[in-house]
Amino acid sequence: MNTFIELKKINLDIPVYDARRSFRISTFQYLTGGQIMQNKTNNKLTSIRALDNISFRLEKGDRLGLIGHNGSGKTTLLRVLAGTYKPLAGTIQCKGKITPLFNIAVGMDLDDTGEENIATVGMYLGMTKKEIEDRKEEIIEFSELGDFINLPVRTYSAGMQVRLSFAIATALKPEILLLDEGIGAGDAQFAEKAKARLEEFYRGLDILVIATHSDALIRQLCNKALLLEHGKIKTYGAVDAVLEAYHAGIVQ
Amino acid sequence: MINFKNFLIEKSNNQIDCEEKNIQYELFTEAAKDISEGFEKKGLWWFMAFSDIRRRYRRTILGPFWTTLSLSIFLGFASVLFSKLWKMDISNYMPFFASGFISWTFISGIITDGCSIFVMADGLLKQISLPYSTFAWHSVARNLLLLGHHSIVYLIIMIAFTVPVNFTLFLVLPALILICLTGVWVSILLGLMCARYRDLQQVVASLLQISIFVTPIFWPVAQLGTSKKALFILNFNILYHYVSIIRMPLLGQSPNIKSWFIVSGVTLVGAIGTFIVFAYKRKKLGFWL
Repeated sequence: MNTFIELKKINLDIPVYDARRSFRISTFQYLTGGQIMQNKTNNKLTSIRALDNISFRLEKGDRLGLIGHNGSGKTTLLRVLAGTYKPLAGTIQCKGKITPLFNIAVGMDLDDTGEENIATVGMYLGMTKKEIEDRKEEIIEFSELGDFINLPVRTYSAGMQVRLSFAIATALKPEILLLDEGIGAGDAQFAEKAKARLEEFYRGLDILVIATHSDALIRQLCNKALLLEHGKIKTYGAVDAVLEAYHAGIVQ
Repeated sequence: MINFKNFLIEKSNNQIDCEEKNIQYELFTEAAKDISEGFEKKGLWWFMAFSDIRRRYRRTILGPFWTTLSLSIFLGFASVLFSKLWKMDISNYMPFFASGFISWTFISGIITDGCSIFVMADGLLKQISLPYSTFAWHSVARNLLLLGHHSIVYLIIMIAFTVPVNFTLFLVLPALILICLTGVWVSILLGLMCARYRDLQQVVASLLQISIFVTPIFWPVAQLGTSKKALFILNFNILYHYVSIIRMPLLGQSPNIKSWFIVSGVTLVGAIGTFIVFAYKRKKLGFWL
């Protein structure tokens, strides 16, 4: 299937309902956040223009890294792609199932056993009952939790919980994957084993969009990068060029 | 100040006619897609409803019997008291009160839970993408499961007081279907409104509190007499009709045909009205959470 994502002229204004109208800054540059403005439809409201005129197209095989200062719109753009924020201007067209993986432990119930949680988290992440049944053994084996898999997740350490969620998340076979920061993997021994699995996981994707502050991660995973600044696209293109622009922008 | 008119339909500024029509068409198709995709996720929302119930009974001694027992005690004591007050035989009063109270708990549970469906799903919606209507179906399903628990108590009462069982009992099924469909649109409508205006939930809670006394649950209909005012209070209370279509089959009687008409009408009109509101306001929900 020809998976693709296309954004055209996306503007996202987030209304702020409780803001008091005293703005300290009006003339000098502020270093974080989107653009604060008066709401277009209702003059009493304040809005933050989180995304301004965003357009790009990703084809099957593209891996896009989103980079920018705090509040530049990386997570917001991911949420727009995920469907949480629906932009009132511009168009999004996409073909293929979008899997947001912002939290690998979504829906994890601490009082349920590890095995029950495989079903719970799997369901929330979008796996069908059949897929969960097929992959359950493999997930349990990979997580190396042994008999703990039959105990409530409440009894696990944080690292063990990460192992379990990591095993479940990487058992998915997403077409379009959205990530906010990379997927963490637990202790050193597990991290080695996880590397191979993670690489296979990434290889199986059609399109990846990841927001991160880590240069290394972008160089490792992505073939394109997008530099955002106050909600606007500053640079878009090959990874090296964009990272150079990003660092050039910082060193004043 | 809450401006309801602004909330209900926000007329866009004068634009070129065809542009506006296209946007509206898209809004409606997207809303319809949301509702059908939400229903298709029945595996997920049934699972969520069962998990909710399972979570309640963890590490309890009685487990599911906990609800049954507390309901039985309440029904027992209240029936003894009120049957004396209304000078009715307890074998007549208890089935009436039990069926009415259980139906009321179901209906008011759907309404109360409906207010918070989107507010509570805030965290989840920021992590995964789900059709908004999934949460409405989830809320109704959960309340349906709770109804199942309570029905066991009523079953015992039915047997103990030999309530007549005839074909009218089957009328409970269409009644439940209508109530569930109403529940879905009520949940979506209230969920949207309460996500935007956070104090509406209190208003709804207060109204329900009053309604339980205005609706004949604790008191038999006959107590009201036959004056015009009495009939007005009775028939204009939509909740009375909703309770009636489940209660009467459970008592072996056939509900008034007027109640069927009113319930069907409200279900239909409400569904259409909510669909329109949902179509216009759906895009804003992400910003209200």
